[in-house]
Amino acid sequence: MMISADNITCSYPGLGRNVVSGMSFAIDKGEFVALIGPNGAGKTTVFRVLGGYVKPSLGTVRIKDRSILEMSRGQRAGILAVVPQNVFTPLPYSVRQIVEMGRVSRLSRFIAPSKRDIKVISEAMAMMDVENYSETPFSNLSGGEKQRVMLAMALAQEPEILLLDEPTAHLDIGHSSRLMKILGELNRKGNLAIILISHDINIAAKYSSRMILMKSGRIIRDGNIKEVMDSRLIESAYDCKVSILEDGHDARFIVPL
Amino acid sequence: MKATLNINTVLLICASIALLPFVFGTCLCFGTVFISPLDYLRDNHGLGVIIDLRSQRLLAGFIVGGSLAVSGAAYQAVLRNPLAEPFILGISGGAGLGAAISIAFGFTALGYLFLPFFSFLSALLVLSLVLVMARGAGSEYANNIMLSGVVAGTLCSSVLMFIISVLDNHKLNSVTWWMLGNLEQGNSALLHAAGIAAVAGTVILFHYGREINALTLGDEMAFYLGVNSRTLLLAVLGIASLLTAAAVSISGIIGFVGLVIPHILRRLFGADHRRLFPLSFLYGGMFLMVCDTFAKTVLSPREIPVGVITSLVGGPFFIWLLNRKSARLGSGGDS
Repeated sequence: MMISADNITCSYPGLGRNVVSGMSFAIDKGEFVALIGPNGAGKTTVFRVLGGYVKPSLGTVRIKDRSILEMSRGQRAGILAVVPQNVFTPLPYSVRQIVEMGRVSRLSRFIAPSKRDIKVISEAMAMMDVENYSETPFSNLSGGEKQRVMLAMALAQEPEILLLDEPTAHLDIGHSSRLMKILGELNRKGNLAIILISHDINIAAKYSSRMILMKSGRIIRDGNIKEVMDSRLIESAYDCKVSILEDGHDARFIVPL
Repeated sequence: MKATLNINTVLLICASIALLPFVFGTCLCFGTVFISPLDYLRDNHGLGVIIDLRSQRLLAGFIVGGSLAVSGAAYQAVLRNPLAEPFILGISGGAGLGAAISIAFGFTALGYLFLPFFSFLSALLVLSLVLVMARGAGSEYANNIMLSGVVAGTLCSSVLMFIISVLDNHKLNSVTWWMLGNLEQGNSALLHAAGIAAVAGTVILFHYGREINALTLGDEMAFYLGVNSRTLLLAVLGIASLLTAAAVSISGIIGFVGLVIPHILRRLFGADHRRLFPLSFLYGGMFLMVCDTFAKTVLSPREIPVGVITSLVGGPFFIWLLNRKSARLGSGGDS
């Protein structure tokens, strides 16, 4: 078991209701899971709890069978990488400097990065195809390039689990499908467990092997693509009439009516 | 396109340290009278006293300028705002109020250490109030801190205005002169204490430079990278504020050094805080030494407050910076 949530319940102060209530699931090594659901379903909060940033009021998160609260910051960051939405810095860092930040928990405060650190950073940039921008200011990049740099930063952590909040938001179909293909490759070759949040159900269905559909802080279906891509289920979750198209090769697509 | 010059950090810092004696020596020559370096070397006119006075004042300039630049760089990073400066958390308001109170009630007559001590204490008092006011803001913490700082600063300055309005002329003069900023400062023990604090603060901030880099990505992202982001934020704010309060208690309020120097250095040498903090200390210090030398000599024998010089240089730069920013936003589209 890579990461598991056991009955996590979570609220924000002054809100008066639970954003996440009693969710349980477990993700295995090498899985590629899409967390989907309508706006306000609590997906981002689930990520914050999984990442340890928000403490659940009830329940526990375990990473490799250890409670996340018992792990040191460095241990956690060495296994679990999270890329939230809309990360930016106001200062003019170069792309390489941003990717190097992925190793902050592994670098000594007293000495320069080792040869191995530099190698990992370069490899992460090569994998995300951003090594040509290495000395460019991060703020000069386009949305798709920035997203790839954030992923390179996460890979520089050498994680075993990757949580991505809407990695394809603001990306056109070309950029988003290329990004998803890279993620698919990392998942298969690197044996990296990936959980991503997506509003694009079709892209999520095409690249992931398992989907978790949630609404109002609860899981309403957790299963393979066929089980979740069900028109009645999607209609009730998103409150919108849809139809399901099949392409004859096991792929399913949702079209709103 | 290259972001910045790619120079070895250690070399860069060593070269900057090597520049220091040169700037110091040049500034030492200027004053009400020009003394050439040759005269210093011969020392046949009993110049020892002048050298002592001038070098003490230059040292004050170096410590104050360095402290302000380092704390400006730190505030800009952790508050994630390029327009942040050392006085943004209401420290100038607090220190100004403390100084005005000690002048108004005649504490300054009790001993020359009362004024710096009072301004230092009240700056720290205002800072603690700001941090308490901003508490419990969740992910908006950095923004809330700045808002509270602005509010606290405004409150202090209105009380300050009230005090000024009821002061007699002589005291009014002292308060105004203090607020304009002045490096003529007689107490070397105070200066040494501030100098040690400035060096220690810079070293600590440098030590946490990589974490501070990550913190500029925001509290949440830094947490996921393994940084203890909340504690680091408070620690950096605390160190930067101590340095500012110490600087203010020595020299009064000297504007723009803390805003301008970090921006210029980032443009030249990049945003990595492992080099930015030491460089800010060195160049902030040298900048203020040079500005103060101008302040002494331009209208000699009359002396201009050094804050006027730094603002005259810093003001136009600030406007240029703002315009650059809006021009980029106007043409940037979705970048």
